[in-house]
Amino acid sequence: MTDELHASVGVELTEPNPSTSLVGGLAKMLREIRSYRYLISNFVRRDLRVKYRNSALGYFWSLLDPLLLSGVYVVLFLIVAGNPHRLYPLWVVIGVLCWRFFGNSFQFAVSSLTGNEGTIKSIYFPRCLFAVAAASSNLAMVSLNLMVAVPFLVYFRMPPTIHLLLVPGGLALLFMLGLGLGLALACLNVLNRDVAHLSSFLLRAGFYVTPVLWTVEMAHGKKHALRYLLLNPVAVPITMVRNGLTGRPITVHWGYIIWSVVCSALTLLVGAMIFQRYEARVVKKL
Amino acid sequence: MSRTTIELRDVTLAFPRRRVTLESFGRSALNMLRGGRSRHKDEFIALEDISLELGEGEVLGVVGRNGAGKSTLLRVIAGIYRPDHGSAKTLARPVLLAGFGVGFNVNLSGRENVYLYGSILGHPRSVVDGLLPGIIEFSGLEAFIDQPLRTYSSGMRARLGFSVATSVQPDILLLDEALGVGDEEFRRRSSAHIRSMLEEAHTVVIASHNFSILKQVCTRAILLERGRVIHSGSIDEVEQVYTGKLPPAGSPGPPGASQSP
Repeated sequence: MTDELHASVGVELTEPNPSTSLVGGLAKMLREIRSYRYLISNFVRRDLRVKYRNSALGYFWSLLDPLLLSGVYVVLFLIVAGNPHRLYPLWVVIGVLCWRFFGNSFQFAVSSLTGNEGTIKSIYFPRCLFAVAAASSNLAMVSLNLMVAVPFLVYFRMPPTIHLLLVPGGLALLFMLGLGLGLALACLNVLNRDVAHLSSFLLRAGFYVTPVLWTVEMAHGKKHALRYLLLNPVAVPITMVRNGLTGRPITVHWGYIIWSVVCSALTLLVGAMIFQRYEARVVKKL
Repeated sequence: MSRTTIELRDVTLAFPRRRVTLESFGRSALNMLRGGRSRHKDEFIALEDISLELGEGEVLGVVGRNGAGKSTLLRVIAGIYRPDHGSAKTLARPVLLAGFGVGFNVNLSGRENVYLYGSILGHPRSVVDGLLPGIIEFSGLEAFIDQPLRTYSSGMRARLGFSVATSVQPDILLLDEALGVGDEEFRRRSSAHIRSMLEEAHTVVIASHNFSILKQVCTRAILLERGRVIHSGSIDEVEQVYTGKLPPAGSPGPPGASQSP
Protein backbone atom coordinates (compact mmCIF):
# COMPACT_ATOMS: atom_id res chain seq x y z
CA MET A 1 0.00 0.00 0.00
CA THR A 2 2.90 2.30 0.51
CA ASP A 3 3.77 2.63 -3.17
CA GLU A 4 1.79 5.80 -3.38
CA LEU A 5 2.93 7.19 -0.05
CA HIS A 6 6.59 6.68 -0.68
CA ALA A 7 6.42 7.94 -4.22
CA SER A 8 4.90 11.18 -2.97
CA VAL A 9 7.61 11.87 -0.41
CA GLY A 10 9.93 14.66 -1.39
CA VAL A 11 8.64 15.05 -4.92
CA GLU A 12 6.28 17.96 -4.75
CA LEU A 13 3.67 19.53 -2.53
CA THR A 14 0.45 17.59 -2.78
CA GLU A 15 -2.99 17.65 -1.26
CA PRO A 16 -3.66 14.47 0.69
CA ASN A 17 -7.22 14.19 -0.57
CA PRO A 18 -7.60 16.29 -3.71
CA SER A 19 -11.10 16.84 -4.99
CA THR A 20 -12.14 14.92 -8.07
CA SER A 21 -14.44 15.71 -10.88
CA LEU A 22 -17.67 13.78 -10.75
CA VAL A 23 -16.51 11.63 -13.64
CA GLY A 24 -13.19 10.66 -12.08
CA GLY A 25 -14.76 9.02 -9.02
CA LEU A 26 -14.48 5.39 -9.97
CA ALA A 27 -10.96 5.75 -11.35
CA LYS A 28 -9.87 7.44 -8.11
CA MET A 29 -11.47 4.69 -6.06
CA LEU A 30 -9.75 1.95 -8.06
CA ARG A 31 -6.40 3.73 -7.67
CA GLU A 32 -6.94 3.99 -3.93
CA ILE A 33 -7.94 0.34 -3.64
CA ARG A 34 -4.79 -0.60 -5.51
CA SER A 35 -2.40 1.39 -3.39
CA TYR A 36 -4.10 0.50 -0.10
CA ARG A 37 -4.79 -3.17 -0.83
CA TYR A 38 -2.69 -4.13 2.16
CA LEU A 39 -4.97 -2.17 4.49
CA ILE A 40 -8.06 -3.72 2.91
CA SER A 41 -6.71 -7.22 3.41
CA ASN A 42 -5.95 -6.38 7.03
CA PHE A 43 -9.50 -5.13 7.57
CA VAL A 44 -10.87 -8.30 6.02
CA ARG A 45 -8.65 -10.45 8.19
CA ARG A 46 -9.81 -8.53 11.25
CA ASP A 47 -13.48 -8.99 10.36
CA LEU A 48 -13.11 -12.73 9.83
CA ARG A 49 -11.10 -13.20 13.00
CA VAL A 50 -13.44 -11.17 15.14
CA LYS A 51 -16.54 -12.85 13.80
CA TYR A 52 -15.67 -16.32 15.01
CA ARG A 53 -13.59 -15.40 18.02
CA ASN A 54 -14.43 -16.97 21.35
CA SER A 55 -16.70 -19.62 19.96
CA ALA A 56 -15.99 -23.31 20.36
CA LEU A 57 -17.20 -24.12 16.84
CA GLY A 58 -15.41 -21.20 15.21
CA TYR A 59 -15.42 -21.31 11.42
CA PHE A 60 -17.74 -24.30 11.52
CA TRP A 61 -20.47 -21.80 12.29
CA SER A 62 -20.17 -20.43 8.79
CA LEU A 63 -21.59 -23.80 7.61
CA LEU A 64 -23.82 -24.57 10.55
CA ASP A 65 -25.62 -21.27 10.47
CA PRO A 66 -26.90 -21.57 6.88
CA LEU A 67 -27.80 -25.22 7.49
CA LEU A 68 -29.96 -24.37 10.47
CA LEU A 69 -31.45 -21.50 8.55
CA SER A 70 -32.45 -23.71 5.64
CA GLY A 71 -34.11 -26.05 8.13
CA VAL A 72 -36.30 -23.22 9.34
CA TYR A 73 -37.33 -22.19 5.83
CA VAL A 74 -38.05 -25.73 4.75
CA VAL A 75 -40.38 -26.21 7.71
CA LEU A 76 -42.00 -22.91 6.86
CA PHE A 77 -42.41 -23.95 3.23
CA LEU A 78 -43.86 -27.34 4.21
CA ILE A 79 -46.47 -25.54 6.29
CA VAL A 80 -47.36 -22.98 3.64
CA ALA A 81 -47.04 -24.86 0.35
CA GLY A 82 -46.19 -28.44 1.18
CA ASN A 83 -44.05 -30.91 -0.75
CA PRO A 84 -41.04 -28.87 -1.87
CA HIS A 85 -38.54 -29.95 -4.53
CA ARG A 86 -35.75 -32.07 -3.05
CA LEU A 87 -33.22 -29.32 -3.77
CA TYR A 88 -35.44 -26.60 -2.37
CA PRO A 89 -33.56 -26.41 0.96
CA LEU A 90 -30.33 -25.83 -0.93
CA TRP A 91 -31.86 -23.17 -3.17
CA VAL A 92 -33.18 -21.34 -0.16
CA VAL A 93 -29.85 -21.45 1.65
CA ILE A 94 -28.04 -20.11 -1.37
CA GLY A 95 -30.67 -17.44 -1.85
CA VAL A 96 -30.53 -16.33 1.75
CA LEU A 97 -26.71 -16.29 1.79
CA CYS A 98 -26.56 -14.25 -1.40
CA TRP A 99 -29.17 -11.82 -0.16
CA ARG A 100 -27.33 -11.46 3.13
CA PHE A 101 -24.11 -10.79 1.27
CA PHE A 102 -25.75 -8.10 -0.82
CA GLY A 103 -27.60 -6.59 2.16
CA ASN A 104 -24.59 -6.52 4.49
CA SER A 105 -22.33 -4.98 1.86
CA PHE A 106 -25.00 -2.39 1.20
CA GLN A 107 -25.69 -1.52 4.83
CA PHE A 108 -22.04 -1.42 5.86
CA ALA A 109 -21.38 0.95 2.99
CA VAL A 110 -24.33 3.19 3.88
CA SER A 111 -23.00 3.66 7.40
CA SER A 112 -19.31 3.48 6.48
CA LEU A 113 -18.80 7.18 7.27
CA THR A 114 -21.08 7.49 10.30
CA GLY A 115 -19.81 4.26 11.81
CA ASN A 116 -16.12 5.15 11.59
CA GLU A 117 -16.26 8.67 12.91
CA GLY A 118 -13.43 8.12 15.41
CA THR A 119 -11.01 6.81 12.81
CA ILE A 120 -12.00 9.38 10.21
CA LYS A 121 -11.37 12.25 12.60
CA SER A 122 -7.97 10.97 13.73
CA ILE A 123 -6.23 9.93 10.57
CA TYR A 124 -6.61 10.29 6.85
CA PHE A 125 -6.79 7.42 4.44
CA PRO A 126 -9.24 7.13 1.54
CA ARG A 127 -12.68 6.78 3.12
CA CYS A 128 -14.05 4.51 0.43
CA LEU A 129 -11.83 1.79 1.89
CA PHE A 130 -14.20 1.26 4.81
CA ALA A 131 -17.01 0.23 2.49
CA VAL A 132 -14.73 -1.67 0.11
CA ALA A 133 -13.21 -3.62 2.99
CA ALA A 134 -16.62 -4.42 4.46
CA ALA A 135 -17.91 -5.68 1.13
CA SER A 136 -14.73 -7.73 0.69
CA SER A 137 -15.15 -9.26 4.15
CA ASN A 138 -18.69 -10.18 3.28
CA LEU A 139 -17.52 -11.67 0.01
CA ALA A 140 -15.02 -13.82 1.89
CA MET A 141 -17.71 -14.91 4.35
CA VAL A 142 -20.29 -15.76 1.72
CA SER A 143 -17.69 -17.78 -0.17
CA LEU A 144 -17.05 -19.78 3.00
CA ASN A 145 -20.75 -20.10 3.68
CA LEU A 146 -21.49 -21.39 0.21
CA MET A 147 -19.36 -24.45 0.97
CA VAL A 148 -22.50 -25.65 2.68
CA ALA A 149 -23.62 -26.75 -0.79
CA VAL A 150 -20.92 -29.45 -0.86
CA PRO A 151 -22.64 -31.92 1.51
CA PHE A 152 -25.90 -31.47 -0.40
CA LEU A 153 -24.23 -32.11 -3.75
CA VAL A 154 -22.44 -35.15 -2.40
CA TYR A 155 -25.64 -36.51 -0.89
CA PHE A 156 -27.60 -36.06 -4.12
CA ARG A 157 -24.60 -37.26 -6.17
CA MET A 158 -24.43 -34.18 -8.35
CA PRO A 159 -20.94 -33.64 -9.74
CA PRO A 160 -20.01 -30.03 -10.47
CA THR A 161 -20.64 -28.93 -14.04
CA ILE A 162 -19.36 -26.16 -16.26
CA HIS A 163 -22.16 -23.98 -14.88
CA LEU A 164 -20.12 -23.59 -11.70
CA LEU A 165 -18.45 -20.71 -13.51
CA LEU A 166 -21.65 -18.73 -13.02
CA VAL A 167 -20.97 -18.55 -9.26
CA PRO A 168 -18.08 -16.07 -9.24
CA GLY A 169 -19.92 -14.01 -11.84
CA GLY A 170 -23.03 -13.81 -9.68
CA LEU A 171 -21.02 -12.93 -6.59
CA ALA A 172 -19.18 -10.21 -8.47
CA LEU A 173 -22.48 -8.67 -9.56
CA LEU A 174 -23.82 -8.75 -6.00
CA PHE A 175 -20.60 -7.14 -4.75
CA MET A 176 -20.91 -4.32 -7.25
CA LEU A 177 -24.60 -3.76 -6.53
CA GLY A 178 -24.29 -3.77 -2.74
CA LEU A 179 -21.18 -1.64 -2.62
CA GLY A 180 -22.36 0.78 -5.29
CA LEU A 181 -25.80 1.37 -3.79
CA GLY A 182 -24.29 1.80 -0.32
CA LEU A 183 -21.63 4.24 -1.50
CA ALA A 184 -24.27 6.29 -3.26
CA LEU A 185 -26.17 6.75 0.02
CA ALA A 186 -23.26 6.98 2.49
CA CYS A 187 -22.83 10.75 2.15
CA LEU A 188 -26.54 11.44 2.52
CA ASN A 189 -26.55 9.28 5.63
CA VAL A 190 -24.06 11.65 7.25
CA LEU A 191 -26.43 14.55 6.69
CA ASN A 192 -29.35 12.62 8.03
CA ARG A 193 -29.30 9.22 9.69
CA ASP A 194 -32.83 8.54 8.54
CA VAL A 195 -31.21 7.31 5.34
CA ALA A 196 -29.81 4.24 7.13
CA HIS A 197 -33.18 3.44 8.70
CA LEU A 198 -34.95 3.82 5.41
CA SER A 199 -32.44 1.65 3.59
CA SER A 200 -32.73 -1.14 6.13
CA PHE A 201 -36.50 -1.07 5.63
CA LEU A 202 -36.11 -1.20 1.85
CA LEU A 203 -33.77 -4.12 2.25
CA ARG A 204 -36.34 -6.04 4.25
CA ALA A 205 -39.01 -5.30 1.66
CA GLY A 206 -36.67 -6.26 -1.17
CA PHE A 207 -36.16 -9.68 0.42
CA TYR A 208 -39.65 -10.74 -0.68
CA VAL A 209 -39.70 -9.41 -4.24
CA THR A 210 -36.29 -10.93 -4.93
CA PRO A 211 -36.01 -14.66 -5.60
CA VAL A 212 -34.61 -15.55 -2.18
CA LEU A 213 -37.23 -17.86 -0.71
CA TRP A 214 -38.47 -18.75 -4.16
CA THR A 215 -36.67 -19.40 -7.42
CA VAL A 216 -37.13 -17.97 -10.88
CA GLU A 217 -38.04 -21.47 -12.07
CA MET A 218 -40.81 -21.69 -9.47
CA ALA A 219 -42.30 -18.47 -10.83
CA HIS A 220 -42.33 -19.59 -14.45
CA GLY A 221 -46.07 -20.12 -14.25
CA LYS A 222 -46.52 -16.43 -13.56
CA LYS A 223 -44.87 -15.04 -16.68
CA HIS A 224 -46.39 -11.60 -16.36
CA ALA A 225 -45.20 -10.96 -12.80
CA LEU A 226 -41.83 -12.47 -13.54
CA ARG A 227 -41.27 -9.99 -16.33
CA TYR A 228 -41.24 -7.22 -13.75
CA LEU A 229 -39.57 -9.14 -10.95
CA LEU A 230 -36.58 -9.83 -13.16
CA LEU A 231 -36.02 -6.14 -13.67
CA ASN A 232 -34.68 -6.24 -10.12
CA PRO A 233 -30.94 -6.47 -10.84
CA VAL A 234 -30.36 -8.64 -7.75
CA ALA A 235 -32.58 -11.43 -9.14
CA VAL A 236 -30.22 -12.53 -11.88
CA PRO A 237 -27.00 -12.84 -9.82
CA ILE A 238 -28.79 -14.88 -7.13
CA THR A 239 -30.10 -17.19 -9.83
CA MET A 240 -26.63 -17.42 -11.32
CA VAL A 241 -25.07 -18.51 -8.02
CA ARG A 242 -27.95 -20.86 -7.31
CA ASN A 243 -28.01 -22.60 -10.68
CA GLY A 244 -24.26 -22.56 -10.94
CA LEU A 245 -23.84 -24.45 -7.70
CA THR A 246 -26.58 -26.96 -8.46
CA GLY A 247 -25.26 -27.48 -11.97
CA ARG A 248 -28.14 -26.13 -14.01
CA PRO A 249 -28.07 -23.64 -16.87
CA ILE A 250 -29.97 -20.42 -16.26
CA THR A 251 -33.27 -20.26 -18.00
CA VAL A 252 -33.61 -16.51 -17.62
CA HIS A 253 -33.82 -14.65 -20.92
CA TRP A 254 -30.39 -13.35 -21.88
CA GLY A 255 -31.76 -9.81 -22.07
CA TYR A 256 -32.26 -9.83 -18.30
CA ILE A 257 -28.72 -11.00 -17.75
CA ILE A 258 -27.33 -8.13 -19.78
CA TRP A 259 -29.68 -5.78 -17.97
CA SER A 260 -28.38 -6.98 -14.61
CA VAL A 261 -24.74 -6.71 -15.64
CA VAL A 262 -25.27 -3.19 -16.96
CA CYS A 263 -27.17 -2.19 -13.80
CA SER A 264 -24.41 -3.53 -11.55
CA ALA A 265 -21.66 -1.76 -13.43
CA LEU A 266 -23.63 1.49 -13.52
CA THR A 267 -24.47 1.22 -9.82
CA LEU A 268 -20.85 0.88 -8.87
CA LEU A 269 -19.82 3.66 -11.23
CA VAL A 270 -22.45 6.09 -9.98
CA GLY A 271 -21.97 5.08 -6.33
CA ALA A 272 -18.23 5.69 -6.54
CA MET A 273 -18.78 8.97 -8.36
CA ILE A 274 -21.16 10.30 -5.72
CA PHE A 275 -19.09 9.07 -2.79
CA GLN A 276 -15.75 10.35 -4.05
CA ARG A 277 -17.20 13.68 -5.00
CA TYR A 278 -19.00 14.45 -1.76
CA GLU A 279 -17.21 12.46 0.94
CA ALA A 280 -14.85 15.28 1.96
CA ARG A 281 -17.69 17.78 2.15
CA VAL A 282 -19.82 15.75 4.52
CA VAL A 283 -17.02 14.50 6.76
CA LYS A 284 -17.10 17.91 8.44
CA LYS A 285 -20.60 17.14 9.57
CA LEU A 286 -19.67 14.01 11.46
CA MET B 1 14.30 29.52 3.07
CA SER B 2 14.76 25.78 2.77
CA ARG B 3 12.32 23.52 0.93
CA THR B 4 8.68 24.18 1.73
CA THR B 5 7.09 21.19 3.43
CA ILE B 6 3.68 22.57 4.42
CA GLU B 7 1.82 25.18 2.45
CA LEU B 8 -1.61 26.54 3.38
CA ARG B 9 -3.23 29.07 1.08
CA ASP B 10 -6.26 31.05 2.19
CA VAL B 11 -7.66 28.09 4.04
CA THR B 12 -11.25 28.59 5.11
CA LEU B 13 -13.34 25.90 6.72
CA ALA B 14 -16.84 26.16 8.13
CA PHE B 15 -18.69 23.59 10.17
CA PRO B 16 -22.44 23.40 10.02
CA ARG B 17 -24.26 23.69 13.29
CA ARG B 18 -26.19 20.51 13.77
CA ARG B 19 -29.91 20.70 13.49
CA VAL B 20 -31.41 17.80 11.64
CA THR B 21 -34.85 18.46 10.29
CA LEU B 22 -36.30 17.50 6.96
CA GLU B 23 -35.96 21.07 5.80
CA SER B 24 -32.34 21.37 6.86
CA PHE B 25 -31.68 17.97 5.32
CA GLY B 26 -32.89 19.17 1.97
CA ARG B 27 -30.84 22.30 2.28
CA SER B 28 -27.65 20.55 3.34
CA ALA B 29 -28.10 18.00 0.58
CA LEU B 30 -28.38 20.86 -1.89
CA ASN B 31 -25.31 22.49 -0.41
CA MET B 32 -23.42 19.26 -0.72
CA LEU B 33 -24.30 19.12 -4.41
CA ARG B 34 -23.48 22.74 -5.03
CA GLY B 35 -20.19 22.34 -3.26
CA GLY B 36 -20.19 25.78 -1.77
CA ARG B 37 -20.60 26.62 1.85
CA SER B 38 -24.11 27.22 3.00
CA ARG B 39 -24.96 30.86 3.03
CA HIS B 40 -26.96 30.46 6.17
CA LYS B 41 -26.30 31.69 9.62
CA ASP B 42 -26.29 28.12 10.90
CA GLU B 43 -22.64 27.51 10.32
CA PHE B 44 -19.58 28.07 12.36
CA ILE B 45 -16.41 29.39 10.76
CA ALA B 46 -13.66 27.22 12.21
CA LEU B 47 -10.79 28.57 10.10
CA GLU B 48 -10.73 31.73 8.04
CA ASP B 49 -8.20 32.80 5.44
CA ILE B 50 -5.23 31.05 6.93
CA SER B 51 -2.06 31.14 4.90
CA LEU B 52 1.06 29.52 6.14
CA GLU B 53 4.30 28.29 4.72
CA LEU B 54 6.64 26.07 6.68
CA GLY B 55 10.01 24.78 5.61
CA GLU B 56 12.42 22.14 6.77
CA GLY B 57 13.74 22.66 10.25
CA GLU B 58 10.79 24.72 11.42
CA VAL B 59 8.73 24.00 14.51
CA LEU B 60 5.52 25.95 14.59
CA GLY B 61 3.61 26.47 17.81
CA VAL B 62 -0.15 26.96 17.48
CA VAL B 63 -1.62 28.81 20.42
CA GLY B 64 -5.18 29.77 21.17
CA ARG B 65 -8.06 29.28 23.54
CA ASN B 66 -10.30 26.24 23.45
CA GLY B 67 -12.33 26.29 20.25
CA ALA B 68 -10.03 28.74 18.50
CA GLY B 69 -9.39 26.21 15.72
CA LYS B 70 -6.09 24.61 16.72
CA SER B 71 -7.13 20.99 16.31
CA THR B 72 -9.06 21.81 13.16
CA LEU B 73 -5.96 23.41 11.67
CA LEU B 74 -3.92 20.28 12.40
CA ARG B 75 -6.63 18.13 10.86
CA VAL B 76 -6.64 20.23 7.71
CA ILE B 77 -2.88 19.79 7.39
CA ALA B 78 -3.27 16.06 8.00
CA GLY B 79 -5.86 15.81 5.23
CA ILE B 80 -8.74 14.90 7.50
CA TYR B 81 -10.72 17.97 6.50
CA ARG B 82 -10.52 19.40 3.03
CA PRO B 83 -10.73 23.20 3.15
CA ASP B 84 -13.88 24.81 1.76
CA HIS B 85 -11.72 27.43 0.11
CA GLY B 86 -7.99 27.57 -0.45
CA SER B 87 -5.62 24.65 -0.39
CA ALA B 88 -3.51 22.72 2.08
CA LYS B 89 -0.52 20.94 0.64
CA THR B 90 2.30 18.95 2.16
CA LEU B 91 5.51 17.48 0.83
CA ALA B 92 5.18 14.13 2.62
CA ARG B 93 2.34 12.41 4.38
CA PRO B 94 2.05 14.16 7.75
CA VAL B 95 1.61 12.15 10.93
CA LEU B 96 -0.92 13.54 13.38
CA LEU B 97 -0.38 12.38 16.93
CA ALA B 98 -3.75 12.60 18.62
CA GLY B 99 -6.12 9.93 19.83
CA PHE B 100 -3.82 6.92 19.99
CA GLY B 101 -5.16 3.50 19.16
CA VAL B 102 -7.49 4.35 16.30
CA GLY B 103 -9.18 1.27 14.93
CA PHE B 104 -8.20 -0.92 17.86
CA ASN B 105 -10.43 -3.92 18.16
CA VAL B 106 -11.01 -5.22 21.67
CA ASN B 107 -11.47 -8.81 20.54
CA LEU B 108 -8.08 -9.03 18.88
CA SER B 109 -4.85 -9.59 20.75
CA GLY B 110 -2.40 -6.80 21.41
CA ARG B 111 -0.11 -8.18 18.73
CA GLU B 112 -2.89 -8.38 16.11
CA ASN B 113 -3.88 -4.82 16.98
CA VAL B 114 -0.32 -3.65 16.42
CA TYR B 115 -0.49 -4.98 12.85
CA LEU B 116 -3.96 -3.55 12.30
CA TYR B 117 -3.15 -0.11 13.69
CA GLY B 118 0.19 -0.18 11.89
CA SER B 119 -1.56 -0.77 8.58
CA ILE B 120 -3.99 2.07 9.29
CA LEU B 121 -0.96 4.29 9.86
CA GLY B 122 0.36 3.16 6.51
CA HIS B 123 2.99 0.58 7.47
CA PRO B 124 2.91 -2.70 5.56
CA ARG B 125 3.30 -6.00 7.35
CA SER B 126 7.01 -6.28 6.58
CA VAL B 127 7.64 -2.90 8.23
CA VAL B 128 5.57 -3.77 11.31
CA ASP B 129 7.45 -7.08 11.58
CA GLY B 130 10.61 -5.10 12.09
CA LEU B 131 9.03 -2.57 14.42
CA LEU B 132 7.22 -5.09 16.62
CA PRO B 133 9.98 -5.86 19.15
CA GLY B 134 10.60 -2.16 19.71
CA ILE B 135 6.89 -1.45 20.05
CA ILE B 136 6.37 -4.22 22.58
CA GLU B 137 9.40 -3.15 24.55
CA PHE B 138 8.47 0.51 24.62
CA SER B 139 4.89 -0.21 25.67
CA GLY B 140 6.14 -2.47 28.44
CA LEU B 141 3.37 -4.95 27.67
CA GLU B 142 5.46 -8.08 26.90
CA ALA B 143 3.40 -10.20 29.27
CA PHE B 144 0.05 -9.18 27.77
CA ILE B 145 0.78 -8.84 24.08
CA ASP B 146 -1.05 -12.05 23.12
CA GLN B 147 -4.04 -11.36 25.35
CA PRO B 148 -7.15 -9.84 23.78
CA LEU B 149 -7.29 -6.10 24.08
CA ARG B 150 -10.48 -6.18 26.14
CA THR B 151 -8.41 -7.47 29.06
CA TYR B 152 -6.26 -4.32 28.91
CA SER B 153 -6.85 -1.33 31.12
CA SER B 154 -7.43 1.98 29.35
CA GLY B 155 -3.92 3.06 30.33
CA MET B 156 -2.44 -0.07 28.79
CA ARG B 157 -4.39 0.51 25.58
CA ALA B 158 -3.15 4.08 25.41
CA ARG B 159 0.42 2.88 25.95
CA LEU B 160 0.13 0.36 23.14
CA GLY B 161 -1.47 2.93 20.85
CA PHE B 162 1.19 5.49 21.61
CA SER B 163 3.98 2.98 21.04
CA VAL B 164 2.64 2.03 17.60
CA ALA B 165 1.84 5.59 16.56
CA THR B 166 5.31 6.82 17.46
CA SER B 167 7.26 3.81 16.22
CA VAL B 168 8.11 5.42 12.91
CA GLN B 169 9.82 8.77 12.67
CA PRO B 170 7.71 11.01 10.40
CA ASP B 171 9.09 13.82 8.26
CA ILE B 172 6.13 16.03 9.10
CA LEU B 173 4.87 15.70 12.64
CA LEU B 174 1.63 17.24 13.87
CA LEU B 175 1.14 17.18 17.61
CA ASP B 176 -2.07 17.94 19.40
CA GLU B 177 -1.94 18.82 23.08
CA ALA B 178 -1.65 15.95 25.47
CA LEU B 179 1.81 14.50 25.21
CA GLY B 180 1.56 12.21 28.17
CA VAL B 181 -0.37 8.96 28.38
CA GLY B 182 -0.35 6.13 30.87
CA ASP B 183 1.19 6.18 34.31
CA GLU B 184 3.91 8.49 35.59
CA GLU B 185 6.79 6.35 34.43
CA PHE B 186 5.36 5.91 30.94
CA ARG B 187 4.47 9.59 30.75
CA ARG B 188 8.06 10.49 31.36
CA ARG B 189 9.35 8.06 28.74
CA SER B 190 6.71 9.10 26.21
CA SER B 191 7.51 12.78 26.65
CA ALA B 192 11.18 12.03 26.12
CA HIS B 193 10.34 9.99 23.04
CA ILE B 194 8.19 12.78 21.59
CA ARG B 195 11.01 15.20 22.29
CA SER B 196 13.42 13.11 20.26
CA MET B 197 10.84 12.79 17.45
CA LEU B 198 10.53 16.57 17.45
CA GLU B 199 14.24 16.85 16.94
CA GLU B 200 14.33 14.30 14.13
CA ALA B 201 11.30 15.53 12.20
CA HIS B 202 11.83 17.94 9.34
CA THR B 203 8.80 20.04 10.16
CA VAL B 204 6.64 20.10 13.25
CA VAL B 205 3.37 21.79 14.13
CA ILE B 206 2.40 21.72 17.80
CA ALA B 207 -0.90 22.86 19.24
CA SER B 208 -0.62 23.35 22.95
CA HIS B 209 -1.30 25.57 25.94
CA ASN B 210 1.95 24.65 27.58
CA PHE B 211 4.27 27.59 26.95
CA SER B 212 7.19 26.07 28.82
CA ILE B 213 7.31 23.23 26.28
CA LEU B 214 6.52 25.48 23.33
CA LYS B 215 9.31 27.87 24.26
CA GLN B 216 11.83 25.06 24.29
CA VAL B 217 11.03 23.72 20.84
CA CYS B 218 9.26 26.30 18.66
CA THR B 219 11.03 28.36 16.04
CA ARG B 220 7.81 30.25 15.22
CA ALA B 221 4.31 30.55 16.56
CA ILE B 222 0.86 31.71 15.57
CA LEU B 223 -2.02 32.78 17.76
CA LEU B 224 -5.49 31.70 16.67
CA GLU B 225 -8.66 33.41 17.71
CA ARG B 226 -12.03 32.37 16.32
CA GLY B 227 -10.36 30.68 13.41
CA ARG B 228 -8.15 33.59 12.37
CA VAL B 229 -4.46 34.08 12.81
CA ILE B 230 -4.35 37.21 14.92
CA HIS B 231 -0.66 37.17 15.52
CA SER B 232 2.33 35.49 13.98
CA GLY B 233 5.87 35.74 15.24
CA SER B 234 8.23 34.32 17.83
CA ILE B 235 6.80 32.20 20.60
CA ASP B 236 7.71 34.82 23.22
CA GLU B 237 5.84 37.48 21.30
CA VAL B 238 2.83 35.23 20.84
CA GLU B 239 2.80 34.43 24.53
CA GLN B 240 2.71 38.11 25.38
CA VAL B 241 -0.15 38.72 22.97
CA TYR B 242 -1.96 35.68 24.30
CA THR B 243 -1.67 36.86 27.88
CA GLY B 244 -2.70 40.37 26.90
CA LYS B 245 0.63 42.08 27.51
CA LEU B 246 1.00 43.05 23.88
CA PRO B 247 -1.62 43.96 21.27
CA PRO B 248 -1.76 41.68 18.23
CA ALA B 249 0.19 42.80 15.19
CA GLY B 250 -1.69 45.08 12.85
CA SER B 251 -4.22 46.28 15.39
CA PRO B 252 -3.80 49.24 17.64
CA GLY B 253 -6.16 48.12 20.37
CA PRO B 254 -6.32 45.09 22.68
CA PRO B 255 -7.14 41.65 21.15
CA GLY B 256 -10.87 42.19 21.44
CA ALA B 257 -10.75 45.27 19.27
CA SER B 258 -9.25 43.37 16.34
CA GLN B 259 -12.65 41.88 15.58
CA SER B 260 -14.20 45.14 14.44
CA PRO B 261 -13.59 45.92 10.77
